[in-house]
Amino acid sequence: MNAMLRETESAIVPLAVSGLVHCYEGSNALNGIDLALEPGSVLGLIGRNGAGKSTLIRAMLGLLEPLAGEARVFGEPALQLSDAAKARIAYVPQQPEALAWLTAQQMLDFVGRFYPRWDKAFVTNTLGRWRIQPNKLLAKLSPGERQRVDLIRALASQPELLVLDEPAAALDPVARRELLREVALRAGESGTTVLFSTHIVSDLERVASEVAFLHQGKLLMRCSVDETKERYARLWLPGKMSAAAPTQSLSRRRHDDGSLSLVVERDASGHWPEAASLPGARVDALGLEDLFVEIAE
Amino acid sequence: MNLRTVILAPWRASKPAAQGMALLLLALAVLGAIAVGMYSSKPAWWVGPALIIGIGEGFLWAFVMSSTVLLAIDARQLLVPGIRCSVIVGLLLYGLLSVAVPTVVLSLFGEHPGATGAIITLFCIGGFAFALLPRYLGTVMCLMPAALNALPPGIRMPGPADPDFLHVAVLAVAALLLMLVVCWRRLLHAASPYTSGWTQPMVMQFRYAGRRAAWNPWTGFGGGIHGVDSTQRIRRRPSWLQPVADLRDCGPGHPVRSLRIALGGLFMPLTMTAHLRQFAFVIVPSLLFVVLMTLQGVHRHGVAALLTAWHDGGLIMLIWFGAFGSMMLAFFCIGQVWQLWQKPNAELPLLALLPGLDGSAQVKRDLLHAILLQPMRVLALLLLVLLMLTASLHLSARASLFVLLGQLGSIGFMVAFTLTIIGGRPLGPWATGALAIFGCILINVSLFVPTLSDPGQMKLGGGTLPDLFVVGWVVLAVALPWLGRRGWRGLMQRPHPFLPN
Repeated sequence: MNAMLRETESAIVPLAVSGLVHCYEGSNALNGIDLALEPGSVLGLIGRNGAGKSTLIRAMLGLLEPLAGEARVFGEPALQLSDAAKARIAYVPQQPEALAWLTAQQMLDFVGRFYPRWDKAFVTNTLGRWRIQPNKLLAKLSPGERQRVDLIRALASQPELLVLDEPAAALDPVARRELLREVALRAGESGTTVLFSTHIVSDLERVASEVAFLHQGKLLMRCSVDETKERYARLWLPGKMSAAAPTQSLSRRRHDDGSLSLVVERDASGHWPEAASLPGARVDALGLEDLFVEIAE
Repeated sequence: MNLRTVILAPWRASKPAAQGMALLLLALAVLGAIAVGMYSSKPAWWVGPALIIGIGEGFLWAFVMSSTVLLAIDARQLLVPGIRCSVIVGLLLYGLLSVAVPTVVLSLFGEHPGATGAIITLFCIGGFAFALLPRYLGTVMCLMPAALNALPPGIRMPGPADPDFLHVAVLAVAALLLMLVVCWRRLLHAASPYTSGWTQPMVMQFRYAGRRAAWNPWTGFGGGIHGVDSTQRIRRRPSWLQPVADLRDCGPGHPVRSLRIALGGLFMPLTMTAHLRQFAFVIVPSLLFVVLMTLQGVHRHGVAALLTAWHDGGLIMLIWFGAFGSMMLAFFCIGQVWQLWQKPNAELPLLALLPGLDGSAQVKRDLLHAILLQPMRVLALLLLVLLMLTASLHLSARASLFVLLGQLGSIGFMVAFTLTIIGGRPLGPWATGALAIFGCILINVSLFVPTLSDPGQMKLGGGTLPDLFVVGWVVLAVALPWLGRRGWRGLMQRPHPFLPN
């Protein structure tokens, strides 16, 4: 019976949204997003500034009320989470500003009292390792230090779902590496599900198992990081053949000489669109960064 | 450099809100000066109008003209040529106009152009110096007039109508000008001129004015007088003045106290030492002011007369001060709540995801307790003190009623606006502003006019004034419960209360 319960529990999707719609002052921030995270996966959310990444993350965790759609965390409505569900989540916002009037140590002591699995030893060790003065007020820390303290806060609660909004934005390269190592370790050893948004494609390649492209409030694509090179490519067609271009593509750009560039996807049987075999057509493999630029431009 | 650039320099350098406030005060000062000039029958009638216009212009120089130093600093940092020169010529031009125009107008009536010009020059330069001197010296400057008046008769400074005034004023103007030049140069050539704090000039605070979010009447109350947020405020405060949170008895078993810690500012439980420090910070300058005023009274009228005056006037001022303080406390609470519910990356996401704050309905009640309970206790205590003071002064029942209404109005404001903010149903900025100004005027006038009307018997003034008050209070008595109900319903409908507005 207990084994069955555990199985059912583990089968519950940590984070799932369907039909999410939200707008700010008339402009659409989220346009019908459907997304679910498998337990233990590391999903990197990538998109340009203003693509809606932070809004999506906040709606997913019930930190804002979307205009339409539903978000669920561990099977519960995100806007009405139980204490048990909350204890399994950790979230670090883009520019943490909370509790600026407390020292780093006070904030961690205060927050730690609410989490049943709070790891005090991790807090002490990491504060020392990251050279953060525990008795300094949070308001007086640099943005990078502040972000690191918030990361310690998130990781010390030993979450099953870790959500990070641009976690590396204010970190130096060394701190960024350490963070990514920690995230990979948590995902690999403890099976923590991780969702993180970023602009830094190399970070995605280093730790993410999956990547999702968000553009103008829409989820344009989602696939595993290893799969992207195989599955997507740039198809270049000379101007005289542009009429043969496939109707389905992730992006379409016409050049000054009339030629056409498209980001295309292999079909279910693993073939490129027919136009790729036309004389003069060219298929270029795309790295993750090139793919992002092609789609987002 | 052309004349247009020179004229526009101060207006481009300062914020529209500061300009509006300063110009409004100047306009009110001019009207006040005209009124005083028309109705004064004293031989030195010109002193009143000159002082009033001086105060108005002092504000203009403190809050608008001083911002030109920011423009000069930016120009120097960005290596933009010509702007510094335009700024200095502009200041000289406005300085000349500020002194010459009122002096000439007052001189048309044939009275002491030299002394009038000196008074106005002192206020303009004083206002400018207030903004450019380090903040602690600016505070000392505000106490200077009272301190000078408190000197014993043997070494008293000459008043504006005294024959020696002009000599002293010229010396003071020269000293202030010298100080301004030193400050100006120091600021312009500082290695990092944009730092702010108690040792930095007040003008550096103006850089942050209204930088966050759109205008809202609570911006100033939530973020200090210049609309800066809590992080910036803490960063600028010296270490000895930082509030230290008392983290005892917090955690999931103590939701209200935990929420108070998380809300910070006025709501946060402090350690005893922090309480004493904060208390001293408010009390010491107030006591200093009272001591100076007492000394001034003793020198002028003697101890017995001072005691009588204190009983007649001092207690009335205390009543007004207490009631005004209550209103400010209520407005600061609303301002802080407003600011907290504006920031999506601060305390709200942390609280929304913090386990242990069980059940949303209970959390909503705990949150209301955390926000309202402490300020309500202070307001209730103040109400008790005020009622005791009104009783000791044998104020009429109606005057006591207005004191009571004033306190209830402050409490009503705090409860209603807090509910609308955390309930996600805040009024628009203009409606909020209109209601806040209306309430502010009503509470103050209700307190002030009855006590002023007949200081001996403390009866209300006659005529239609009380009827107007009654209408005003009825409007407030309808508006605040309506707002509160609207906020309460919004709060109950929200899935959880930590959703930003």
